Amino acid sequence: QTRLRVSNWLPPSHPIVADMMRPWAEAVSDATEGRVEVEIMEAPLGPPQAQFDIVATGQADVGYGVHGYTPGRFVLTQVAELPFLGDSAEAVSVAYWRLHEEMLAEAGEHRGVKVLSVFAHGPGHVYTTGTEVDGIDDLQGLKLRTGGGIVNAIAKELGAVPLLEPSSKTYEILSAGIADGILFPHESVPFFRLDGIVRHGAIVPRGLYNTSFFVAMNEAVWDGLSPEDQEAVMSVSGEAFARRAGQAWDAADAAGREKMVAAGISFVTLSDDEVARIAEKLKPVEARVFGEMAEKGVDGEAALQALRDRVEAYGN
Amino acid sequence: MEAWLIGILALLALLLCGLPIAVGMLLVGGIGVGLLLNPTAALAMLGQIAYQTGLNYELSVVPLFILMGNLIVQAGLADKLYAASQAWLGHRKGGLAMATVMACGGFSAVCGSSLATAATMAKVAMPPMRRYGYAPSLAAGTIAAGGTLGILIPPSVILVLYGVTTQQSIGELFLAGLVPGILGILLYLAAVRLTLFLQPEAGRAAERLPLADRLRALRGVGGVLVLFVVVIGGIYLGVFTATEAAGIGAFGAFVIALLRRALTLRSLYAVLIDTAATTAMMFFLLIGATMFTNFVNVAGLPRDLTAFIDGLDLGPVAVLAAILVIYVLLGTVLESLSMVLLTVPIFYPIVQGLGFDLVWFGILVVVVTEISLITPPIGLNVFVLNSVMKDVPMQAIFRGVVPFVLADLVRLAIILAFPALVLIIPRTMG
Amino acid sequence: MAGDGTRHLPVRLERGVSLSLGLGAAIFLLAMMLVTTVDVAGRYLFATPLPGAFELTQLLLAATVFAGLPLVTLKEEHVSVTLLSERLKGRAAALHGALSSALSAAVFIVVARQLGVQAMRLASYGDTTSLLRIPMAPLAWTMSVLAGLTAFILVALAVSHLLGAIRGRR
Ligand code: NA
Ligand code: NA
Repeated sequence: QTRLRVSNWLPPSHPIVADMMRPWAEAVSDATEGRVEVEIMEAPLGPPQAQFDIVATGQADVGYGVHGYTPGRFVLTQVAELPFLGDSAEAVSVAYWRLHEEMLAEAGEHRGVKVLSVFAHGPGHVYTTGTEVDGIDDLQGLKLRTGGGIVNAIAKELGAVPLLEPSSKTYEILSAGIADGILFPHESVPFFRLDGIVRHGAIVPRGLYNTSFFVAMNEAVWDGLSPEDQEAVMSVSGEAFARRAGQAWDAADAAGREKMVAAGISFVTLSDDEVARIAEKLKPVEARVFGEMAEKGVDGEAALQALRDRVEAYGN
Repeated sequence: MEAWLIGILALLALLLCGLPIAVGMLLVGGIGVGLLLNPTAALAMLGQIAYQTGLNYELSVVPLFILMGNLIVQAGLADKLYAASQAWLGHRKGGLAMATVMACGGFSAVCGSSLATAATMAKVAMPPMRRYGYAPSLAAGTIAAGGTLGILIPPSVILVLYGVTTQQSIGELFLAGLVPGILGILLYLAAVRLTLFLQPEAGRAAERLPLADRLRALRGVGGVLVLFVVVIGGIYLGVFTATEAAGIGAFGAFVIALLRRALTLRSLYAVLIDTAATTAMMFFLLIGATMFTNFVNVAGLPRDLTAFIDGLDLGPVAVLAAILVIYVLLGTVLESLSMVLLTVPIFYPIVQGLGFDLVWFGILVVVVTEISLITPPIGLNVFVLNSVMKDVPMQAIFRGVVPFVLADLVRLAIILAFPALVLIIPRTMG
Repeated sequence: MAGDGTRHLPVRLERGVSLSLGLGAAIFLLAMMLVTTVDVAGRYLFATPLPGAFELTQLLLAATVFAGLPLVTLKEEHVSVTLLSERLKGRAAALHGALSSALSAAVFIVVARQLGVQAMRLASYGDTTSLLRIPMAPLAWTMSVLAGLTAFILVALAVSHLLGAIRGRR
């Protein structure tokens, strides 16, 4: 029997733990008829940005994390952080996994690990404490907390002042009024206890940004599994995991939105005209990502188009 | 025997042999992880921890708050604080000791470390107390105890580390320390009076100063007051984050030192080096503690501890009380920083699981840590005083702190009984 | 604190290390202070925070800490429990110092090596900071070298304690 230890850096109630990793652990046990058992560790072995290395160097057998937390390392995965990918995390995640298999994986950015899945959270929107945002003009000079990477560039191109702060500081800088707002998916606002602080949500159809996640297994551990077990593990990982993850985010987003409505937060959906203006403004961000992807031999424009097409086609 | 228990015993044995605490934690933690997982993983973990700890943005407050305190000393404001306290309290019975408590409290408002507060105040407050024939035990005991205020009254390095470990807002923790800190000052004043009640000859009164002189003495503390108001007020009003406040505070202290013409290139250099060395020492401890914590986590201590506590079937309050007793006991042998770094990661999930507020628990941890700083056999503040004033025997200092330890226990009980005292200010922040 | 004010190292080594690293650490610290101040001032006065203040602070912090390590080691100021060891006198104390320094040196050699491994990983993946795109590998190399220097100092201390033990005095 093989026992896989999963590095875990989120609280047990977080959707990634409760609705993605735990069900996956059970699915792995079932699929391998108990030959592979999965243990999700209680205490983190390192900070979020160290998770990829923790898996790659064998400190844990399996782990999950955010590609953007190690800037410069993952270039191709930035395609899943770009604006307007889609309203359903399920569709985006499944489409993203397929794109990864077909166009991104062969560049070998995930050296040292076996990629079990990639996925995305729900569409990112704009939340503010004071100013009501219903278009690009309201964003000018607004201090918005971002986590770095593409979303930072997006905030800047739109005329906002991005404040790069770790997610652990979101509560402090918003409650204290250091930032005027934040870019987040619905789920994260209540999760970071911000539903009592932000007052307005500006919904950007198909999302202003997204975040790319990975689930990975140490390569040597993967090689040590029998071909039969490898196949069984992948039968519940890959696309199956992406679908489960997307569904979990969608559910968490819906619950988050309900909580926010109950907390009296008002929502505005940006008009088509405003979305078009935003898209125009964000062309340079896309162009920069395409340029970086080209250096790794991937046609970024085609990849983005393929991703959007697949999201569109999902479920039809 | 459980692996984590063997590890803890091995660590205690190594530490008692006098190995640097950080080295001991790295050795036991590294070997433990190597045996439980595999040596490659242990080595990778070590490199990872050293690298990530060095780059931890939130910990940038540690050197910056230390720098702020060092610059304030360089600017001569510690002396001014004492002079002002003496002008107002010195003529009372035991007045110089009470002035020392006040000055320690004031200095704590611009210094994040307990040791630095005790060391600074020893140089400033000891000579006048000697001049007026204060009993060495009372004089040294007051300074050793007064120094502990340094980690409760914000800014506080210990609260920063607690906040980073438990992911609590450092700003809230700082503000939470205010009321208990003032309570600490008041109870320490009472402890001075208690000592004098028991030993009437321990401290005689100094001359009473005319009002004009007393008012003039107050001007000297203006700089400290302004800096405290800017730093803590800035956090409270949300002008900047607690992390940024450290940089602003250090810059403010720098400006004050410049204005007072207290900085030469040479003295600035000395202050900076001193700060860097202290910072490195603390970070090395932190790296060791993180490695050791990872080891006990891998060895399943959190799970076993939770199961043990569940099995005891005690109420939440009894569990909390048990944890605090463990702290007081550990505190007799462990140095404060190491103690917090070692124990908080283990206990906070339990405390959280019991439904207690982690900001409140943070203040409780600091108060018990303060006790550890002045209790034998390992009381770091006492050691510091002993090294600054070689002629006062260690036993005399430990005897002198007894009333202050009682004051600390009273404060602990008050905070336990009235959590609102801790939480009222942070909850109205922003 | 284990510092007892006794000199254990050649004066020239001590001065050389203190001066070069001291200057470095001093500059990093001052820069850290100024970065925050300029960032906050820029945010309020001009609505333009200093770009990359966050990551500059991170890099400066790591540099300060690791430049400080040889300094604090040189002064033998690492925290330890001196309850029993302070009772040792003469040869026993010197032997204790030698053993303790040697074990510490061993630990720092491993730390230096692993930071080197970390640096090579970072270089191979091409890790950078988020905004300013500063490569991370050179920083990790610097950390590794400074940890190595700390190990070297500890070896020198161990040797000097050992010589003291052999000569039978401190
Ligand atoms: Na303080
Ligand atoms: Na103690």
